[in-house]
Amino acid sequence: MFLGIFTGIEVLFFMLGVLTTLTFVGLGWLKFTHNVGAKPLAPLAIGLLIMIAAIAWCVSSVLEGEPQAGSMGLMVIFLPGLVIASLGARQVYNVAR
Amino acid sequence: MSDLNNQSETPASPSGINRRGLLKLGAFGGLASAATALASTAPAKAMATGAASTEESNAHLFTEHDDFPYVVANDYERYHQERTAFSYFHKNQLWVYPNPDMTKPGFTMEDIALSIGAWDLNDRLNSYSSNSGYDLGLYNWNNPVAPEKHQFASKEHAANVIKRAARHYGASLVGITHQDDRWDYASFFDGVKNETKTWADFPFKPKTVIALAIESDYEGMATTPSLVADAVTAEGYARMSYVAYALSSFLRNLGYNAVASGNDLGMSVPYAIAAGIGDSSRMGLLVTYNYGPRVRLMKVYTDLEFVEYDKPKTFGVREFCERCKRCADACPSKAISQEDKMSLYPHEGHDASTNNVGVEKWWTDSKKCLQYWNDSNTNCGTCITACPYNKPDFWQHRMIEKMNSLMPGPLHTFMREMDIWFGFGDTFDEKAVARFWDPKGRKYDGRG
Repeated sequence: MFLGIFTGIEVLFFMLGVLTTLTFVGLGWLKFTHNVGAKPLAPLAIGLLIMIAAIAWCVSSVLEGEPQAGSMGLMVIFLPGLVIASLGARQVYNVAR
Repeated sequence: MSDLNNQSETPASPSGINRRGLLKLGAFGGLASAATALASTAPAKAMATGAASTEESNAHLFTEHDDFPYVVANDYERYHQERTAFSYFHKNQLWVYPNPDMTKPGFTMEDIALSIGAWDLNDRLNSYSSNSGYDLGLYNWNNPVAPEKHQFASKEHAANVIKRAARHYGASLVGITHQDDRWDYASFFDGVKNETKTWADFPFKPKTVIALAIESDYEGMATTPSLVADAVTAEGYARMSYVAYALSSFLRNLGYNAVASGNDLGMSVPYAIAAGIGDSSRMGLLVTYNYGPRVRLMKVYTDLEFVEYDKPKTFGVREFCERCKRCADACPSKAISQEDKMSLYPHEGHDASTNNVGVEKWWTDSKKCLQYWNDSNTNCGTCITACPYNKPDFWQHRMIEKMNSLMPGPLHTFMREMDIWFGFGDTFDEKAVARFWDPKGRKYDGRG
């Protein structure tokens, strides 16, 4: 996996680190450059973090050979995260535009 | 609305964030880093030493006990090896296996050979000691002992040295406890020779018991009940003996009497609980924090006394088992109790002739259990596969186990249901046998 150097779980956690950093930078950018308050930002942040956690869960489940756990993770973790993030994104868009 | 409109205070930087914003962002990033560092557990140490270094961070999940954590009745009577279900089956010549259906996954010629290969290894090392007997193979009682006793610098040092040696020889978990008459067989029984001996025949008076556990293969145990899982059991029995033997030899070379023990001499589960390597469960097996019930247990009896003893530790298995019952539901012979609570004595109508009565537990019917071993041509093990504590060693399961330990009772029922929905703990799963043999994703030449 990945140049034959890293295992799947190592690549996953590296990518999760990248995604988490991008999320925090993005949230900071919205807050400091567009002056978006904590109230509309909170659901977006929570939703994005839930989605990142869901990616961690789902990919790990596939890597450990339990694909059903991965599919269920998409349904019960990723989807609620997506809904919360979408609601947050709408509020943020209304404030920032 | 944005900081870009706030030109009067400071000019905007070319990137669109002014210096004040940049400072805020820096502080924000610093907080995030600090939170990440707090959330992780001594990451450098964890990376250096693996799972063992998580012990300190998990400390709050465990309750240490000064005494044995389950009630033992005042009228408790010591158990005799002759009363085990294995002895009952030997004495009554009930080991009758039907011919397996060799078209069924898990029972093909390859599966049979896999199982026989492992049992052959175990039998060469320890003869029939997995079922009956004592003083057999690597579990023999008489071995040379170095004439001079090594003096350890401290009790703590002695415990550390013993545990490191055990890990070196292949033990996954190690705990040290006092020898306890309650958990030792009052007499030993060899069902093949039809011989009985007592502790008076034993070469020395043990003072300490080192409880050991080795992990069994997850993929293999996912195939229960099958001959692939049987091969895992048998290979485990072989490994039990050589790990315990090596540790006993280590102690003998330090001048102390030591004898390795598998299923003989005493009951492994209470000793393992007393030594703090696991907790009692509904199915009567030890549930460990790292591997759940997917372990094999063995012991080393020694007369070494100058050692730091471990304390029993519980981590919420009892509370979880009260509501879960997945093992009892999965058991094909219905040998596992469906009662909600543990009890000191068996409930009415339960055949306790092979049970160790007078210790708080859930009651299992060992005769029914072994009869199913006969009928299925396997060592079954479906309870181990079905148990929600039986998981691969992946981060998300360690997280869920932490959550389970902290959650109140009613949520355990929800966690049990989620475990089923997420596809864990399936038994009689023919796909699991295919997965065990599947070459996909396996590199046998060291390339991956």
